[in-house]
This record gives sequence, structure tokens and C-alpha cells, in this order.
Amino acid sequence: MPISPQNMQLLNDLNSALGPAVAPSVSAASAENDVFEVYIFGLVLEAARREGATITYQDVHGNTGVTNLIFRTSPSYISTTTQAYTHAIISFPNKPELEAHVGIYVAGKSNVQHECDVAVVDRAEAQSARATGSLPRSLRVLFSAECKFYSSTPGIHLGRGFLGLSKDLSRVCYLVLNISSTSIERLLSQHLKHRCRERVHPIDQHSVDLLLHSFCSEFREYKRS
Amino acid sequence: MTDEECGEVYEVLSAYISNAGLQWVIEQVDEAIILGRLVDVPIKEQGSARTATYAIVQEATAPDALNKRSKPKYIQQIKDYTNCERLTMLLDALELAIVRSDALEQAVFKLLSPAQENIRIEFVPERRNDRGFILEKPETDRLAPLRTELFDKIERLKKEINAN
Repeated sequence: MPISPQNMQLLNDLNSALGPAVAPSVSAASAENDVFEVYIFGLVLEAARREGATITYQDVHGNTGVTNLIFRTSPSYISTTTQAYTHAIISFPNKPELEAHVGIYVAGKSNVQHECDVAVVDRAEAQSARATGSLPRSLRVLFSAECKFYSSTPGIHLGRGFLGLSKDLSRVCYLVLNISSTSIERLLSQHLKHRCRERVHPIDQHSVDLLLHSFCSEFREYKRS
Repeated sequence: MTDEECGEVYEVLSAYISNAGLQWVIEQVDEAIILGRLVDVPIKEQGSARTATYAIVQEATAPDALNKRSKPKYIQQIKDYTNCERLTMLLDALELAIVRSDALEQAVFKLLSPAQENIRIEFVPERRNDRGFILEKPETDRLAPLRTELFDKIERLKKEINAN
């Protein structure tokens, strides 16, 4: 059956509106995922603020107060100086400082290198890693998040891959999805240390609040320790 | 719109999306379509699965079953999507990837700069040959009405699918 003239017109109207609405930030899955990672990084910072922290941006060269924030498009070493990548210093009163990073490698329990999309690291550990060109140890990662942006429901392989990664990380690891995936949520519900948060997107405030609450709990625990 | 016409519209729309440089959206939708939809089905009704080979995935129980002894047994079956469902999935994906990126970008600016300083966010690859991109609020604001217009077109097409 051919497409009716009326529906063909709707399709053509949609096509005309599509091109001008496409920005570089959505032109590739990886770009949209990069923005999503920085969004989750922002939620980590928001949770820290709610728990009484002050936030300062710093680049890898030690410059603070930067307003041109530079983030990675693929994971790299925390000590990388080829670009002035930005991280955030999280300062709680009377507690050692923390750093929040996007897209860095850390050393797992097995000493194997893993990538963390978002990681909150003990600052002394991060400084040492930058100075020596080593990997931050996962033991010194307060918590981390694996961030996945999908336009349609992803397969269970994502959950399986995450389980493999998070088992080698010492602390709590979150799988944060922008979309719902019942099968991944079911798979990870069996594991206390590996937490899945679905539908995390500004259009679903309830899911965002749940994740923020989880991040706040991590920081509260840190302040109590 | 009939299911057959939805299939035709899907093909044309896929070509438009691909031409707009958004092949990744189609690939992700295609992946979800290939996986099919898992539904909980009482064991007695399991004959309508995609194929017998795929029928039994795992045992599940009815979520609202209160009594263990009388709890009906369910299995998960893979069901194929209809053409209309596929088209709806593609439109939903387009909406999430393009239209809703406005909310995502605005949230990024707000979270990274609560004091509303004029920050600029750059995504810079470590390797020189890779491409990066920049997020700037004025550009996101400029795109907002264009994304809204696209949303209106998507909604109009969705209404046609649901009208049948």
C-alpha cells in the first residue's frame, strides 16, 4: 500500500524540520553520550552541594576557577596533559577533599585498567596519580557511574558488561541509563553494590531525584566516615 | 494509518533520518526491534511467541500474585513488534535524541553553573584527528524553537498512527 498523500505531506514536513534541529551534540551516539556523562557529572556536583560541599573547577594544569570547561570525548588517563581537561574539587568542611572526573581510567582490584564515565576520587589519590602518571586505585574511588545514553531500549548485554566492570571496582558503582530497560534493571536488582538507575533525564524528575538521593547518601556516608 | 502503511512510512522516515546524519538513531532502534519485546505470558498461552525456539526465556511470576500456592506461573515470551509499533519506536527515539536534548543541555548548564555564569563546555578529543564539539547556551537557546517545531511534526505523525 502506498503512503497516502496526507501522510506523505506529514513526512515531508518532518523532514524539513529535522535538519535545522540537529546540532553537533546529537550528530553521533558518542556525542550525545558525552553530554549525558557531563549531565551525570553535574548531578554528582549538585548532590555534593546539597550535602554542604563547595565546588571548584580545576584543569589538569592546576588552574582553578576556569569557566571554559573541557571534557574528554573518550576515556584517558587522569594525568593526561595534552588537553586542559577539567575536573571538580569537592570540599566538605573538615573532610579530605574529593575530585569528580569525567572519563578517566582507574585501576581495579585486579590491577586491570577500567574506564569510569564519572568518578568521585579521593583528592590525594588523584593528585598522586597526576604527579606520578599512575592510575587512581578503585579503592580510593568513593563511587563511580557508568553512563549510557540510548535513543531506544538497549539489550541485556549492557547490564552484563556493567556487572563485569563493577565486580572489579572496590566501591559502589552505578549504571545510569537515560531510558527504561526492564531486563537490565531485573538483572542488577540482585546486586547491592551495583546499582541501576533508569530513565535519568531532565524530563523525568522523579528518576533524577532518585539518583540525586543516592548520590547524596554516598556523600553523607563519606561525611560520617 | 494501517500497519502496512506504517511499514512504508518507517522506510521513508529512516532514509530522512539517515540523510540528516543520524544513522545512530536508526541503528539503536533496529537493535531494539531485533531483540523484540519481552512479555510475561501465562504458561497456557505461550503459543503465540515469535518462534518456539525463543519461547522460554525464564520463569517469572505474576507481580500481583499474593498466594504462593495459587500463584500462576508465567514465562517471558519474545513478541515481534508490529509495523506501527516500530514506527512509534522510531519517532520516540527521534524525540529523545533530538527534541529532548534541549532539556538535557539546559540541565547541564544549570548544574555546572548554578550561579549562571557564562560557561562554555567543550568536548575535546585527546587525539588530534578526532572531532570534538562545543556546548554553548546561546546556541542551545537558538535551537530550542527548531526542536519544538520538530516535536510538533513528530506528534502529528504519531496522532496519525494512533488514529487507526
